[in-house]
Amino acid sequence: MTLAINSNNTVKNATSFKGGASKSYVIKSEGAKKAIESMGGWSSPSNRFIMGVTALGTQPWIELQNKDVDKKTREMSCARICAKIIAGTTVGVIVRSLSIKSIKNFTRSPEELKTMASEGKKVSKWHTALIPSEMTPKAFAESGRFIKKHRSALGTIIGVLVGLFTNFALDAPITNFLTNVFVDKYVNKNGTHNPKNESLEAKGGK
Amino acid sequence: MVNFNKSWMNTKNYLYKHYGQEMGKMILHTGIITWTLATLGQVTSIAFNEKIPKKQKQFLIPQEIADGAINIVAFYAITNSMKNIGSKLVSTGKWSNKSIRDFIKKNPSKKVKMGELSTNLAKTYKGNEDFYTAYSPFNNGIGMITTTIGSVVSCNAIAPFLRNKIGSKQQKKSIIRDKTRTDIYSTKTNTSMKI
Repeated sequence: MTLAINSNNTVKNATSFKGGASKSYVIKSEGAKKAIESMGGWSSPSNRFIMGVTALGTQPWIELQNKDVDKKTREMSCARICAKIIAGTTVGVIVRSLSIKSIKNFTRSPEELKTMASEGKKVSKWHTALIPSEMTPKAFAESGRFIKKHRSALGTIIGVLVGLFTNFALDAPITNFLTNVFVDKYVNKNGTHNPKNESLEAKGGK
Repeated sequence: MVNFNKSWMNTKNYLYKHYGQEMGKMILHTGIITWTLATLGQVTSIAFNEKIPKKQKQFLIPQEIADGAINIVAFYAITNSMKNIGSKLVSTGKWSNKSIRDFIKKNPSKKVKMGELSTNLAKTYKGNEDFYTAYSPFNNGIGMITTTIGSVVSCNAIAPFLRNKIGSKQQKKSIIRDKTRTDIYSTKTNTSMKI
């Protein structure tokens, strides 16, 4: 494109790349560029997994440093937090992954429908039930990135709806189970900690 | 009368437009709903767990409620803010990569001054597919990185510290209240025995 030069000998329509206070930073490394772009393709199960791993690395330590409560409370809180993170991350990642995979069946692209038809598989209107009308044929043609993101978004939203059920049916019971395991194994290691005794103590030892 | 077909089509389009192209935004919004549900489930499980003594329940239940509330607030205050800052840095051209730079050099515009707050690359080159090819992956990547860092800071550092403070305070209040009730009960019992 030829750029016109005005009477002041400056280039018209020139984009300013100069800095000073508004200096911009360019990532020139191809490796860094690819790494950043690949992170943009991370789905919510990956994000959930990262949150779980970082949580396991920080939260138990924070619980054990809480000097505002007694030692038994700290240890029990730590055990429960570990159980909660393990249960929540495992269930969260599985539910989101399964939701996203199952969504794929209801968001088939034109190419996928053609492939299914050529393989003799039955193609029904349900295979495109969750395709938005705004998703143009051109969007499908562009390396499938739009459909991939749409599937991931739908899968996560459905994962949240499924969470209505799993939070009470899976997360909470598994957290309880693991808490009791950790408490029996690590907190009650001396065998002297008895919940019934503590309840009696609270009532005056009777 | 409600047109279900039209409503369903509008819902699908809304999800595609607002969440299909922005993973960071989707994670943010679904995170809030997830936290609320998780808190309800956990509080219920603590309350009905017979192996946890009353004294520890008096800390764990307020801790869990505080955890849910703080996480929701911190998600918006920290995670959302970081995501917006990241988006702004990319849309103003403050952060960019070689592909974006090369595109802008081939398609210059008076409105584009890289790094200036007034610049909005997405708005300037709206509808240009070549621009999206260069811009979208980088923008989404930065969005995901800033959202993840914000989530880690808010959920795994700030929220645990604050929830423990609230849980500890509530536990102390509950212990004092229980002790007062026990003392009143003992006093009444002793008084009635004397009579």
